[in-house]
Amino acid sequence: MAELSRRCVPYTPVTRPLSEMTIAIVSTAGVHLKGQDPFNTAGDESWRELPGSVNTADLTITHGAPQEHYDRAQALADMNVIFPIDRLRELQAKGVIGAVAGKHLTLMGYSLRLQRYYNETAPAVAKEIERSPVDAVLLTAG
Amino acid sequence: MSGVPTVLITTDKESSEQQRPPRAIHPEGFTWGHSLGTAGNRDLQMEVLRTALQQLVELHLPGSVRTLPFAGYNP
Repeated sequence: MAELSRRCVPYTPVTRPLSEMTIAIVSTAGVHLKGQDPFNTAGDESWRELPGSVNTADLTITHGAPQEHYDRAQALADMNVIFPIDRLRELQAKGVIGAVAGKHLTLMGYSLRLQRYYNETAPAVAKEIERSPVDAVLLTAG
Repeated sequence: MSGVPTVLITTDKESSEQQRPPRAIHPEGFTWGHSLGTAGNRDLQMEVLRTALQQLVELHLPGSVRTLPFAGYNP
């Protein structure tokens, strides 16, 4: 894998109009399906895959940050606040975007093993996205 | 490695800027847990999302976070 200088901006140009693009969400806000293993709040380098058809009512949040720093109440009432899947669907219905991706990836975004996060997790998540028909990724962190 | 275009919505402009993201917006005043606003505020969520996605097709200097104002954020 190419090593990027810390001064580099990793920029991939967009080659088609928004109305033809398939958009995926990648979020480090600790979102996952209620039936999936929760994240380890002490630190977690794993990710979860959410289907494009996911219902926000089936989602929850596991995150180690205290509630007073990371307010989860808004998202637990309406997950679109951090994982705007319904809003993306509405944009698709209006033709603003081409499609909502068939899979979305979520992480917790807190780990004490930063080398593992950098060397393993991030490339693996990128590979998952590159292997799927996704034209662009919306990143959210909570 | 082909790469994938990304756009970030961040509530922490300072931390995000250290990573020199290719495209990123910080909705002004929005705090952690409220990236696209608040529960049930569909119009605000949509405005933030549209603005973020618009960064994909507009040319701005990559590598920094754009702080943008949005009305109607009342946490």
